[in-house]
Amino acid sequence: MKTISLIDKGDYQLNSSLKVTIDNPLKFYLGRNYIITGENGIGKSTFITKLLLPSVIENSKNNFLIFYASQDFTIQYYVIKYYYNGLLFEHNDFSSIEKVIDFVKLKFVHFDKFPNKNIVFIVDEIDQYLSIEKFLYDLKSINYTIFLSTHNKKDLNSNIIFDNLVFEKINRDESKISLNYEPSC
Amino acid sequence: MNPVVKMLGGFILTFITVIVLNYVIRNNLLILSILLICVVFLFYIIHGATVFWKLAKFWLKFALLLIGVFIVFGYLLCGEIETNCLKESFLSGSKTALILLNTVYILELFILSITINDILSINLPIRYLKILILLRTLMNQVQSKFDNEKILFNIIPEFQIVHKSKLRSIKPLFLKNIIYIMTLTFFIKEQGDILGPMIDNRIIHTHKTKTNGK
Repeated sequence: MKTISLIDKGDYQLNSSLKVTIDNPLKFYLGRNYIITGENGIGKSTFITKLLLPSVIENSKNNFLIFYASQDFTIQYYVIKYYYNGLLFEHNDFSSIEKVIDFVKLKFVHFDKFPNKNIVFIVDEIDQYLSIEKFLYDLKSINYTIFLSTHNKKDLNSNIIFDNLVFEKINRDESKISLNYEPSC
Repeated sequence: MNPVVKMLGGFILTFITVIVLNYVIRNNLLILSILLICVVFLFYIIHGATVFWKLAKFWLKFALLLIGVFIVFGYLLCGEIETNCLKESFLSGSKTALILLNTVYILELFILSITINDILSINLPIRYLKILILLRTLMNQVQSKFDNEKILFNIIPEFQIVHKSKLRSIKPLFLKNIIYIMTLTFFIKEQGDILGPMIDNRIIHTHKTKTNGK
């Protein structure tokens, strides 16, 4: 299996007030799926932007495309809206964030200029905009890997097996990250 | 420091420096270079490496483009390749690029030194103060949300293909820059439309609460 990201063990200062400790190297593979869980403010989003995404981008050369939906989708919403409707003169319904995410997801799925059809989805709490089940539904036709950051792991009704990237609070400014592989994988 | 003195003093100093830069020392390549080194050093010390490199990456492209344009026009106006003529064009382009970079860094030094608290502490009438608050809030939003443009563009597959390709064609790169400018412009406009009434509502609410309290 191809590695899409490797984050070494160690202490990482993600910003001035947040440090994360990784005791064992985090190795992520193409074709597996990961759910990122932990309480609010523990550093999940910062981990994604500061460590995970740069590492995935570095390994992406000709292997896979990356779809990244941040928790705050504002700028991405404007980029999509003004690119497709503004520059390409399409007439898409971008009246809600749900429609925009769904639209761009299908653009990735049906994108014919990339032969491998491998896509790495990194989605940060998009369950505030649309249901995760709906998001995962259209992905059957492609090879994908998903990193799903969410608060409500228990509410997830999906047949997909997820490895769990767990964030635990050590103290106010420090968190610990560990990756629990699903034994059935 | 008194915020009025800080803002007014900063404004006057910035204004004078920009005037001197553009009218007095504009033809002196050596002084322009020394000034840029000083301004850049000051900016680096005050705002740190991250903010410095972010700004440098953005404006260096424009500066290099400017020099390129000067050389092309120099070549076209000379009619044929003459060493002196091209050298002159290169020097003119370099001076203009140095003036641009100096102006940008000096203006940024002034703008970034003003905080929301500075604005609030000057006794301006509320109708003017709210405009300043709106502008500073929008600037903060743009700075935080446009933090990493490369990550943002991972949302459009065509741009990723261009990013991965060794032979980068001009059209997608052009489109990418256009969409970046469009997003920035419309984001500021639309967020301004949303934030403006919100600030008005808060002013009205605070005024009513204060009146009822009396």
